[in-house]
Amino acid sequence: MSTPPTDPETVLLFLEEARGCLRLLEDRALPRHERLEVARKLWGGAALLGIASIQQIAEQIEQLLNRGQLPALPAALDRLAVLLADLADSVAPPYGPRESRKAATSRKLEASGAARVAPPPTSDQLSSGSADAEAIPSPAPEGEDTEPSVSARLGSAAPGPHQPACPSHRTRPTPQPDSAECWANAASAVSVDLGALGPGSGFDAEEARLLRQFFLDEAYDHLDKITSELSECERRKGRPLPVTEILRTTHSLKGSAATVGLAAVSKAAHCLEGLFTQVRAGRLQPEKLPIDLLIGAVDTLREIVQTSENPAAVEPFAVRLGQELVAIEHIAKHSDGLASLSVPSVMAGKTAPAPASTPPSTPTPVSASAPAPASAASTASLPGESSRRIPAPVAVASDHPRPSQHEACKQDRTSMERSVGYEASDRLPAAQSTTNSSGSSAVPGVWQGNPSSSPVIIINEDLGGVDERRRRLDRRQEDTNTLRVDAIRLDELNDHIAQLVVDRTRIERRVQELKSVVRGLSQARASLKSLIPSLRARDAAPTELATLAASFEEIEAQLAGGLSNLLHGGADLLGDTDALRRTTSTLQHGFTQIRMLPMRHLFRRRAGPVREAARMLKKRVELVTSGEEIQIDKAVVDKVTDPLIQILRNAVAHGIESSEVRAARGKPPAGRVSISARHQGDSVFLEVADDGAGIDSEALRRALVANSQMTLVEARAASEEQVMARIFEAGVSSRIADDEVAGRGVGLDAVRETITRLGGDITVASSLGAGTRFAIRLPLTTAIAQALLFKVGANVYAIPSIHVTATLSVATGVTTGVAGVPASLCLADEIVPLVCLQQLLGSTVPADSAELPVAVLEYTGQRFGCTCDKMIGVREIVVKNLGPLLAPLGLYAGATISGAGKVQLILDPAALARTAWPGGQTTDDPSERPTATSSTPTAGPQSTSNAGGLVGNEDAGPVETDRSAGGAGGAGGVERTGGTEQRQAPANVTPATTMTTMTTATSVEPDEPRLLLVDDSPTIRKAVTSMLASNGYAVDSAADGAEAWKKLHEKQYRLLVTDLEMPHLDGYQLMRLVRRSPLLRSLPIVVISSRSSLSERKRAEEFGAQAFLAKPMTDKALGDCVGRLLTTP
Amino acid sequence: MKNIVLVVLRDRRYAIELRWVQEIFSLVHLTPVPTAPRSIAGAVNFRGAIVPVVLAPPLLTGIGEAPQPPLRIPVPGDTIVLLDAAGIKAGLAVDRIDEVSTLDVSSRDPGFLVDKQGMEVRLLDPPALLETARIQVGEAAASGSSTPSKVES
Repeated sequence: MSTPPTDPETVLLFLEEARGCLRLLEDRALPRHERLEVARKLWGGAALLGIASIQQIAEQIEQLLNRGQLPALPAALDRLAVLLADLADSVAPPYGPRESRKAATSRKLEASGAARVAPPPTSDQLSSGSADAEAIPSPAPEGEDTEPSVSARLGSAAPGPHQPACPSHRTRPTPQPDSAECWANAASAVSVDLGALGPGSGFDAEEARLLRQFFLDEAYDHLDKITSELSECERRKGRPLPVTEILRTTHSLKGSAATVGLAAVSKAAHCLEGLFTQVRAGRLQPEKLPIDLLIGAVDTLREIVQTSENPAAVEPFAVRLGQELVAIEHIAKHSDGLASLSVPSVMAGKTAPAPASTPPSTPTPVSASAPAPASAASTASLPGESSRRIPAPVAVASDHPRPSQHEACKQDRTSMERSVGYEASDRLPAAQSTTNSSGSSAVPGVWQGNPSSSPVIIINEDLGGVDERRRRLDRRQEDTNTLRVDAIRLDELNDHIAQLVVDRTRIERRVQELKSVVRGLSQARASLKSLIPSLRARDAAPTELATLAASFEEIEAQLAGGLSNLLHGGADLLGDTDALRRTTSTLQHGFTQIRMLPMRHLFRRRAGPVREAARMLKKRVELVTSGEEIQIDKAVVDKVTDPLIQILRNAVAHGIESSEVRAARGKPPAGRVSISARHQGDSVFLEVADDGAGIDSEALRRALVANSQMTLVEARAASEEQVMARIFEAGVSSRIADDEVAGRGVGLDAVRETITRLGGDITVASSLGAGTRFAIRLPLTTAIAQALLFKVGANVYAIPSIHVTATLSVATGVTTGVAGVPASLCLADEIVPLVCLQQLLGSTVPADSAELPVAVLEYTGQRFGCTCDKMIGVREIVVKNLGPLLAPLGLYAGATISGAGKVQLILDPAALARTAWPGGQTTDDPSERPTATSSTPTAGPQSTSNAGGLVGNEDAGPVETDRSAGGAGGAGGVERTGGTEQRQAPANVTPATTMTTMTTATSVEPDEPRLLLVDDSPTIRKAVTSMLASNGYAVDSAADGAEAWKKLHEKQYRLLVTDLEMPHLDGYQLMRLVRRSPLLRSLPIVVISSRSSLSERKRAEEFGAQAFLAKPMTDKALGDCVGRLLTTP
Repeated sequence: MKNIVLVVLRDRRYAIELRWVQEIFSLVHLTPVPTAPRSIAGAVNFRGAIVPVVLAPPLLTGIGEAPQPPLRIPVPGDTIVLLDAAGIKAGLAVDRIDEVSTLDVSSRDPGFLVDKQGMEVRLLDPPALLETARIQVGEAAASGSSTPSKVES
């Protein structure tokens, strides 16, 4: 038996989780590997709590799953169920009795399918004719021992005489107290439990309040999820109900509600779960469930969540939920015509609160005004409406005097709904009208075919009607793709739109004015024209000339006036369009604002995982947030949620020490994790900090070296920040997790990827023993971005300018690279690949240009250049998505629309980075490190032989072997191979890009390893070349680092000999580039320098040199050194 | 009986059921989308939304078929039928619209309708058409990431 664990709260938590595990394990639809994971999780939980028995069984289950011994699984699961029930019994109610051992056993039998015995039809079933829907699993006494039906569950919440009120007790001649009452009792029982989070629960008041707040968010998420699943089923007929998902969701809701002490919610969720458990167990047929009502029940549950703080307010909703669930269960069981015949006798007594003595089989149509007294306010418009619409049976039941409790309940509900914002006055009539208008679609058998099934309709009416459900549903469906918007913001937008109309009117008026100016001017022109004949008459008398002059003056004045009007009109128009521009941009801003959410939403969602992790690991963690009011785009919030969870989990799991360790280190026992947000410019800065153990940078260095992601020398040389930055690289994580760095790297590469993709960045700082601090910068919105616009071919493209670090130009016409565009770009401190966008975008490099503009981009630490035809500049753009057809192309992050209405594509910096660095940072496969030699003498012939080389590459069979061998050996100890060897780009290297290499078609001395010598002195180059040649090596030389870097990418070298001081790019920089390059990082390097002080040697070593020779060196010393490096790994 | 719009594509008439047609508009500016398959002529701004324009011939002839005649890229003024099917909104470039009509399904082949002159008109299937376009885009994206550049060829 289980060791009684000390902390009952933890046990309860575990119990919830374990039950969830059990359900998942039972789920035969779940893939085996997922079930395995569940078993392991269960094992872990049991181990943590020291519950050996469950630990054992979990292990056994895992083994069974592993070995594929599925037939033995049900027995093991049974055993698990029994153990869980035992465990439940060992802890205090109300949790304990929820599932007794016996119940668990029978449920297990049934779930495993072993004991699914079709029971002999009872008279009741015969009469109902729904034996198929009623498959009661075993002939055991109903109610207590089988999985409790909904009403039984409700009853169990209120122990006592109400228990028998479940529908399965239909055979009782006189139904006992109805479910509504039963639920009322349940509710009051529930309300007693509401204090569970009080003193003694381990939370102080503030903590409890916070917890509940967090819970509310989570609960709404859960409920929305269920609702959307259901709505989807309703919308698309025939879609199977995702029972397992819904079960999982209700189950977690139940668990978390219990955790925060909201027993009412927990129980309500439990009841809903119970319903779906029945569905899964096959006792209810999913296709017979009235989805309308289900959604309604979920809504009621939502109300319960909403009012959960106030026991009195919860009660009516609890009652309603009970009724709804009973109704659902009933409909599901009796949705065929025959079943409905027996309905009245059952339902009238059970759910309609009419006294048992009421003869339900004698419906007497009466005026529908009967329900009016129940709630005068709500029925003002009722009589006329309802007498027309309500089917007689509804009225029948309404005719019966309603028990006061029910009335009270109904009134309660009405007032409640008013308080939560429902319009009671429009609710009721609508509700009535639905009973025959839309109910039919949901439950054909009952609603349409058989009026005698009236009690069901009564229930429905009592519950507010299908139409209300439908309206709520509609509202919700609208919600799924919309945002909740503050009414004030909408008002503001409305104001802006009004202003827009004003602006437009003013411009229209201005245009009218200009038109009249034009009219005046044309009149003047006409007058002028009319004078022309008089001017032509040469014999004009002086008096006539004077008249003419006067006319001219007049016309001139007219023209001048017109001109001035035109000028003013133009200026005014300009002013008006300015105003228009302001209004439109305010409007645009307003719309952006609508998408904004306060950070609070993000923070709250974070709290759950932190507490969960803390609980799991038995750590005390205090979560502090600040900057909750900072606003940020919902799209950003949505995307950044998972990365943030990851970081927070890491902080709790690996950052915060256990209380004992903290005590030993003199820290307060509770660890502290803080999230803060602040707003600056176009960004929001998030900071996640903990006061835990910090990241051990030494361990990280060791791990990086062990992982071949850094050389020892590099690791020693790297600064603290440089080392920390490596934590975001793929592949660092897992191996470091094995190390003592506390697994900080887990998934951080994905975290950085997500954040970078959003247009933000992330950095980390840590001090050992004092804590870790992640700083995340996020854009305020993804809807509007600053982008660099440029032209390639005839089209304009955009790149988010956040990733653009510089713009410059590059000379074209080189003989290497693509279409005259060089393959790489020499920046101040490094050489980076250059992506020819003309090529990538199917355009051509303009033939007449000697230079091309280049944008330098940086994406997750990788820098590269992109050529274009013409830079346009940085603009603010509205980012639009490409839609389902174009988005998968991957090259584009979206599109924007120019002022002229043209579509402009936004290039995805991530895709460009992949093109630029095909190996990426993830390339650390040593086999991709080429080691074979090649020997094309110069760049010129190479480029001409390029095409042939590519072809020749195809059958360069032996090269592969050599490459991998050499790579694995760290470029040393490669056997010299015969035949032509070529450097071959790794499979995923795109020749389109810069990192590709030339291949050779010319003959080579078969077995000479080729070395690259870099020295700015021609004499030394010559001397050293001949020294090396005499030792049997083929040598290429370069005059400086930049040339060498280029050559290293053109050909394959086995070793690099370099001077330190050189123009353009010196030896140190060259070494740094080589060590950083995924392709070259393990190339052996020999430094030759006339500066041979110890510090110089040390520095060279730090930069990655394996050997250091002081100039002048002897032929032999050089030969030995090179030989040693080429033969020893 | 089907309510259809009769369009002309490369001198052939096709019928498109009206239920798939959201709007018919005149092309203003088409932005080409490099790396997209032949069937995607480009993208247009349709009332602020980005809508791809597809060309029917590469979608009708099937995938991977040998040389196809050069496609006519739509120019401003061309007629675009905005389809909404298979979860995709896309414009279909057509040479012209003949008429909007109600025609009977051919008794010979339900894939055809019979016009008033008794001639058979092929009925286009927009969901299948757009689904094919989606597949072709997927293929283009996959080959773009694994094969070397296009310019090399």
